[in-house]
Amino acid sequence: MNLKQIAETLNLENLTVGLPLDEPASVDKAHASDLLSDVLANAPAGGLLITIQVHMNVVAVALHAGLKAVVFASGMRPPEEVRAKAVAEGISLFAARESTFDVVGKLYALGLRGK
Amino acid sequence: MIQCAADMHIHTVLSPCASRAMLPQAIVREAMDKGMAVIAVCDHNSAGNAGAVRRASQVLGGPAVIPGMEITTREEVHVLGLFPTEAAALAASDEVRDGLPLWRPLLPNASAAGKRGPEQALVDADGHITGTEPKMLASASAFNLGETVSLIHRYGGLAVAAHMDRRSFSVPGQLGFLPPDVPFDGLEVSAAGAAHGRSAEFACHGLPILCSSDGHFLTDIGSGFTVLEVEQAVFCELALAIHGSNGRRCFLA
Repeated sequence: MNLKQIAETLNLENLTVGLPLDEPASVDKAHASDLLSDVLANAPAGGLLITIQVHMNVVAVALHAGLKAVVFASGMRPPEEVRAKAVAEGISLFAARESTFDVVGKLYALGLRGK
Repeated sequence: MIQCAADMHIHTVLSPCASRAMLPQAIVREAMDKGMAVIAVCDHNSAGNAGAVRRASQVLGGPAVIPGMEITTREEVHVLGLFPTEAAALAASDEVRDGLPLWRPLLPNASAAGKRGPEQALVDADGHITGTEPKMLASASAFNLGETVSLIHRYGGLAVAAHMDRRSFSVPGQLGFLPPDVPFDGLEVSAAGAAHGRSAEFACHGLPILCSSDGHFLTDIGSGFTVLEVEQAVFCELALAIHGSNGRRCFLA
């Protein structure tokens, strides 16, 4: 599935409108963590990050780890400067009302897996 | 100039995780035994006992006591605030306290069963309990990292990233790396980290490296310390030493 299909299926709010979501490359890996040191060490390149951490460093770490997109769970929303940085760096951000557990469960059911 | 040993991260009985023996006079006596000329009282999210330790030290002829606080940011990063006066520390402490949740029993009916949370005792210089803190001091505050450093600076304080070498509650642990736009005044390494040569890892940030005990038990006090080269052991000299100004400096032994 590509980002567009994932976002539609999980009813995620796209926080970075304007970034392309329908690239043919499928996203089949993901990592859930709120410790960015753990994300740096363990998140799979090309995958998704599910987190409630909204600090600016999320974007930098996502970039460094080669992640495609970040899903903020539990209704967490990053500050505007984080959103702007993500747009500039080409990292898609989404917001989910559901908890990390529920988002991850749905992604797993769609066939996404950890590292 | 004099060189004096400073342990600038010590908890009291106010911190839920600290020993019940961390009372003002005992802290001061232990610091005197260990040869500390400066100590800073940094309880979690509160400066409520800093004044009591300062008064105890004045009576006992002990070290200079810097009123401080170890603030937990929203990202669960620990940041030390070291303040020029008790009033400044308490004002900053009040702002942090406002955003903390009330202590609630971890188990249903725990209160009814007589099981309470940690005491979080406010004490006077003699160690008598004058009150207990109802807010959950171990919780994250409402301020993010940048806001926390701004808050500390707004009250004339020094902002130090706590125990950079640890995985838990440190900037690198929680946020992966030190954000370049957060104006810290210094970086702390733990006593164990300094002993294992970890301070060199953080030299690249161009900030002074401090070492402190993060003492939760009396015997911890002085296990980590920073050497201050200053005219006298007072806050404004500490600030000059941390900023490396006017010939003052700080370094690890």
